[in-house]
Amino acid sequence: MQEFVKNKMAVAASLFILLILIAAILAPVAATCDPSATDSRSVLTPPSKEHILGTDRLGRDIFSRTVYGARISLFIGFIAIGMAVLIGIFIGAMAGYYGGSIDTILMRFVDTMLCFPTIFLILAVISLLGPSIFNIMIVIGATNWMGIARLVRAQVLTLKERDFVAASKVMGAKDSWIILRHLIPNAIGPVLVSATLGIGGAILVESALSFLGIGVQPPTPSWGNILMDGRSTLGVAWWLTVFPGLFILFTVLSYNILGEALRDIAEPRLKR
Amino acid sequence: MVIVKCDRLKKRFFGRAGIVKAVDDVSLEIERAEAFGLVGESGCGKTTLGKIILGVLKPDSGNVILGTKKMQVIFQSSYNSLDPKMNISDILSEGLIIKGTGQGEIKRKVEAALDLVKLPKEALKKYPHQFSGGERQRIAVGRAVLTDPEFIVCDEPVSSLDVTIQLQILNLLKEIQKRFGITYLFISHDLRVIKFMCNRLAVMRYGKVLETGPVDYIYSNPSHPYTRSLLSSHFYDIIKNDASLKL
Repeated sequence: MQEFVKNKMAVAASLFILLILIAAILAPVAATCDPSATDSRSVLTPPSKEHILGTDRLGRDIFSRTVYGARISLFIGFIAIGMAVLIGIFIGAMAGYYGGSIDTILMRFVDTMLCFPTIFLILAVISLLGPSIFNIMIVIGATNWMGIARLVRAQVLTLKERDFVAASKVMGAKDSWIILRHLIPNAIGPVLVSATLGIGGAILVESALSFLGIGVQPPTPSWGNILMDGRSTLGVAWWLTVFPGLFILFTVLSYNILGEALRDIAEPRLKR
Repeated sequence: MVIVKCDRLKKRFFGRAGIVKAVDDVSLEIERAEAFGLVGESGCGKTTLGKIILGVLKPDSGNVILGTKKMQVIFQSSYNSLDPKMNISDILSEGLIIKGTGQGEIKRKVEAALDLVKLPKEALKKYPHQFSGGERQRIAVGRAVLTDPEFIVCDEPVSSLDVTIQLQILNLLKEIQKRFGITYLFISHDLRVIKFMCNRLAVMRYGKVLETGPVDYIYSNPSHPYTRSLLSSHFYDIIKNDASLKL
């Protein structure tokens, strides 16, 4: 903990993440206007007192849309990575604990999944199932668990040889007890680090999909589709793309910095 | 009455240096309520034999006939044998929870075990790394005793401790044996410890049992040359003078 506080970048990153989180949760309070309220009198106005980040071509307040967009983008990031963590832990723990042919089959499946170019896989699945927040979360989660599975497997391989597992077996523990009570709690540290790093990536993927028009569908705002909205007017209204872009940049950057700081604490050997 | 009977156990490992016969045709019998010593240099298969008896490892051939299902184990490294992510309360109650014991009884038994191994109540909320090696080993002993075992495999339980702490743990184990009539399989490379704890012993080398018999008899009339060399080694020189015989 002390080490973490000394890392000023990490503290700044956590504060930023916290700020965005609070803004997202309290979006109805934090937003200055209704995010979908159009106003024909103030179309494409630059940042001003009334609209601190300006308005778009329908006269909607960019700040409010960004705050509501944070809700969607972070929600998708968290749930997608949460899913990836669950799948990764399950597959990794099974492969590591049971070994043998179960291990071989599961790990070759992981290798196969890693061979797909993720973004094209996502594009294919989304165009098949149709774009919706639910489908995006599922598809991001389903393409991000492989690293976590490998991590958990490696941890479990060493943990299962430890004497506390043998002691538990002697006391008559079932496999499920050993996996849930001993192996996963001891393997979770590096997984959380990986998940923190993964949230940034998931937010980026969501933004990219929404930017391409196959992600979150308007009028629901997400950081990606606010960006897309601004694309057509980039020449006259820079604030439409710059501000949501900066939010994406700083949020993803913060998650990466936080993830690296956590990794430095969890695995001091990898410290630069 | 025999509580553990090993019949022609064999276990091989496939390592980088080829096949290692960790346990090679071992047969032995352990009587109820005795402390049976298993001596040998490191790598001779003592631990493997212990794990086979406990059912953690499966033998390649041969079988183990157990007169009890109530078994427990105490390992050498208390650092390795206590889950670092569990507090002492969870560690101690694990065996009882697995057996499906009720909350009230668990609480009562955990407190009694804590008392037995002479640790304060405040220890329950702490984690293994907050204790010294000797205290951790006492926790491991407490965990072993909690499930009312009839047979405990003690695998080098004092080898990683310094001499004064060794004596504390050994006395604790003796007291427990006297009070509950538990059978021990006591694995050690230290002849002084075996002499202090056990009434019978088996000498092991390269996976084979060389000789078996009462401790006093083997210590005074070793029949196998290896046993003789073990007894005449530097360590035994120390136990030959009376003062250190008492440890």
